[in-house]
Amino acid sequence: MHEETLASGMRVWSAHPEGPGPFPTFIMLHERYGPVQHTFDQAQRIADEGFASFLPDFFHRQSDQREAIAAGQSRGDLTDADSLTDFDELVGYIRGLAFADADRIVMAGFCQTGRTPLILSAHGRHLSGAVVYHGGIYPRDFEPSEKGQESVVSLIPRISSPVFGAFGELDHLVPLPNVWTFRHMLEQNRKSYQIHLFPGAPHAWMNNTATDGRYKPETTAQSWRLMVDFCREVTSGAWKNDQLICRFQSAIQPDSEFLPTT
Amino acid sequence: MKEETLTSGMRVWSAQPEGPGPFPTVVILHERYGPVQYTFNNVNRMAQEGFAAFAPDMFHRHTGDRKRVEAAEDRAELQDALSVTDMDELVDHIKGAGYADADRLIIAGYCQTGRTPMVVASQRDYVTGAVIMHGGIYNWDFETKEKGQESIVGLIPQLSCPIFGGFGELDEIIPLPNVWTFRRMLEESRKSYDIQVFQGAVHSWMNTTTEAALKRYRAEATEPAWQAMLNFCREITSGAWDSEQLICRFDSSVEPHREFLP
Repeated sequence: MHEETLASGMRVWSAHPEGPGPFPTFIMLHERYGPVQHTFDQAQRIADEGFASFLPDFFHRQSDQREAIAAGQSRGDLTDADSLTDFDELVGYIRGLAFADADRIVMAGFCQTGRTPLILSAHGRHLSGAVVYHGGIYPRDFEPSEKGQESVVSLIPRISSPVFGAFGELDHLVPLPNVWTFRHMLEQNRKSYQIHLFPGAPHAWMNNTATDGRYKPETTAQSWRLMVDFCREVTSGAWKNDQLICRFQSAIQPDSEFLPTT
Repeated sequence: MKEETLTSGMRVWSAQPEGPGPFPTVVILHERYGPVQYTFNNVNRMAQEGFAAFAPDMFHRHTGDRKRVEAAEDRAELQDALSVTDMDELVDHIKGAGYADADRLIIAGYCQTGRTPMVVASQRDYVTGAVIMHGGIYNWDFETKEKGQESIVGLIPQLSCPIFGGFGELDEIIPLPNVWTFRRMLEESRKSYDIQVFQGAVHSWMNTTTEAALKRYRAEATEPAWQAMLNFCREITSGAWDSEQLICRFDSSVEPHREFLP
């Protein structure tokens, strides 16, 4: 992948299909570990699917903790304001590149950055699609703002792009009722969405570098295919502005608690 | 198409694919008009799609002028207990047919008979999948038992098989909130479902056989509805829906200003 350092010091890695483009743009955000091998692999794969693919280092302000963050021993917290600043700088950079179409951007957040696409869309940044992978709806995401982070409850009414959400039945950080609440909030606010809840999937099932058994190859292939289809649809105009699209697919154990209590 | 008369006097029309079978079975129930060309067309289409298809005359007890029922000048009412009796007789007939696999049995109801597959599936365990096309959840279906008909509020918790529901965005006798209520009731009762709402579709949008029907015909929603229903029938009869899982599938496209939340 091509690596560049922007004026702020934020590094950005990119890859794109062969040919002149412009290709629809996909911004891949890293997990709590920052940009690590798994993230690079995914960013490369999305380029192979036909997108101009960008991976920014959203932890560039915490460079001194880099190793501890990559090892999961330390946590780099992101404020909404910094995420907006970084996004704007990144899009300014993308606009200068002939191969990437900056008017068709899908942004995908994973785990800790699951909420980030929602923040950007709620603050008027144009996204063709917001992809939320096993994050964004942790219990703490519903609480009032702390450390410069706004609650998803107030973000969702202001988002302007369709949302793709992928969650795992066995995610210990995302209780099943949160998925149903998320669906309800999106419908209440008339936001188009496509939500998938995968049976038997634990938190971060896509990470093929994990050695703790969380990696689920079948769910990984399935969820990746669904996400790429969504990205193709929203960057080709298949989701129209005069449509409210609600797509929900879930497979879980019948005795699970999934209905929100309130 | 073959026509036969069973012991009760109930006529049954049937068609099947070429070859010895046994084929998965689908029972196509007629609308309020009784068995008419539209019903026969649906039977033929299902046979072309690989199913042993049967259409019983559920109005065989009606003593009035059937032409008036066909013209929608008169209404024949169905009682739950008699519908179950008729379906038992039909299933015995299907078991004797040789080419039809009665262990893989879909019952599909349209309009007035939309609720009938749920009636049967709440009392019998021989139904593999229940298909409801633009019916079953009229306002009066939620009311308490009258004329030998149980409320779907009482039926749904008793369902023994997955449900497919196909509804039109603009159905003038099925308000959209009823679709959302139906979804909630199925989830509360932990029943697997596949519900689709088709944009721009009015009540009974798939019928091309009469001048009156053509006014309601919506070509752009007809083939998608067929494909969604066939997809469900194929999945259900091929064992793709794990009975150990609660499967929730919802796909709706409506204009953003529609009132749909209950």
